[in-house]
Amino acid sequence: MNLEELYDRYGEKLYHYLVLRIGSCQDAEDILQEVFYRFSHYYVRWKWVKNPKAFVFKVTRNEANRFLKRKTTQQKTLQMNPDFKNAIASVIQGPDEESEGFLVESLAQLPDGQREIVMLKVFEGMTFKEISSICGVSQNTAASRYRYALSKLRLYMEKMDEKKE
Amino acid sequence: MKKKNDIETEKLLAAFSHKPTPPGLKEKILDGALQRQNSNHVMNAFLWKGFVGCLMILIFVIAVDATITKAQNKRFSSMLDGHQESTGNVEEEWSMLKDIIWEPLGSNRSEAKMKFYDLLENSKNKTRQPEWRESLKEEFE
Repeated sequence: MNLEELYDRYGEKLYHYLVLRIGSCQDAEDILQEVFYRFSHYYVRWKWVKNPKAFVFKVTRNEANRFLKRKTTQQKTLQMNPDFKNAIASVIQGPDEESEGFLVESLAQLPDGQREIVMLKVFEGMTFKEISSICGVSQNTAASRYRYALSKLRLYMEKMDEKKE
Repeated sequence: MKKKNDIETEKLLAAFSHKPTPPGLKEKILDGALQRQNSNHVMNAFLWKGFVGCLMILIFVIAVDATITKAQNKRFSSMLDGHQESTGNVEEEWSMLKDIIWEPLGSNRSEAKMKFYDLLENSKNKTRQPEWRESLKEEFE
């Protein structure tokens, strides 16, 4: 699998994943470039990869974690970053602007681990088995995080509805 | 089993999708990755050829050494077993070696031989009977 083919298949998905995970379009581009640079060395390994989609997401996740590790305090400040919401808004498209704003606000409030699983499950349509292999958690943990995230999202949206009224 | 609320939320989320990526992102990412790959390319084609050549020479030397060692071992073991052919070979080689050693001495060959044997005998006696043992013997007598 060459790089161009790889980008056509997964490039945009990985970019969206990174923006939602990191909260910055510029950083997401840098990390994605690093990820594709890594992929350029993997030409032999593709033969043995059972699930290429899960594999590319796993590599991307590891690279994102490395980036976050470099910025040690980033994990806490990400939520406070005003660009974070803008970054999420730049990759999510809703039926209307209002609901888009609601979702962006709600996603920004979620803890990183839960938001990641929601992204993979809802936007990428992955199974809990794939998610567990990407995130390095058990399937049960992935499922319970997803449920928590859904209930939190529902609560946030209800609150926002109340505020609006 | 999924709760009713969860299903509703999932339906709500299903209405959302990804926006298209900024134009030119693909070229930017791929060009950047390839550029980095080229800049970090330490081994060029010439170095690779040299490396493979050296590797092949090394393998050849190891293989030849192993073959020679194996043949030698085989010969020694057959000689120790008293195989006539091997013994014959050794005797033949020894006679050749003797000629090489004694030939330069020319006419004084027999004298030199005798001197050599005397020296050999003396050194053997010395090692067999050390001086301190001799002196002790004398004292007791």
